[in-house]
Amino acid sequence: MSRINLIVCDDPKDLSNVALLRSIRGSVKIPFIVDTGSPSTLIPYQKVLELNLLIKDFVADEDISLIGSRHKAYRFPKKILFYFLCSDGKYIRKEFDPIVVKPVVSNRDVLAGNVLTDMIIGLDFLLDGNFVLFCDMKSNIAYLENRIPENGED
Amino acid sequence: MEEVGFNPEELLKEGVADFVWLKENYKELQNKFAGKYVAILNEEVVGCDGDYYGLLELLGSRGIDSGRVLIKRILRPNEILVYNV
Repeated sequence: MSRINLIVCDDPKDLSNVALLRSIRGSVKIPFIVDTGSPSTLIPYQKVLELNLLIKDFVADEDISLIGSRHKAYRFPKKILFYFLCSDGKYIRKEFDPIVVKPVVSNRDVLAGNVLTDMIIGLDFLLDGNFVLFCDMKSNIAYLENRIPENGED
Repeated sequence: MEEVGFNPEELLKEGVADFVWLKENYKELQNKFAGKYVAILNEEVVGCDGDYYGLLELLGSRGIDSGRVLIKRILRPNEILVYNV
């Protein structure tokens, strides 16, 4: 079993770490937050652009309220590869089709200072990847544990 | 088996080290970059801007691959970010 640490400092404000996203056209590093209050896993629109994926391939989904403003949600028809570093120094890889969220506002001045930089790992990802969340904030220990073979696909 | 030239283990170790560095130095970063987006690479701020897209342009002008850096917005001292999905 592999564990992905979710606390990396002495005074954690959230359950977070860094992932690597990979498409056929590129890769990006992205901080992620595990949010058990979110039913879906969300990726910021501009990160998908940085992966050089084609906007025309997106399929509009329902709207989402996020960080205080309305976001348009899109489904991407092809899966994206997610990579996570485990506590043993190896990595795990998982294919997943997240929801891509784009702020409804189009004015760059309004948008500029309010861009989501993190990926939100929601319950769908935990369920699909058979992840178990362990969280003991008092002891400063939190991790995701899964049963995917090391360095292999699910 | 990953394709030639793509080393996820190395990229992840680099990213996680930068993330730990960000967390451990957050207060110092807040003093310098509160309210701005910062790009971190090899435990160093390699660019900052109040505009996310401006930061991407800055990185491009410096020949830095945005896929290689870690980008985070530094919260102001009294600011709390709640996603509220």
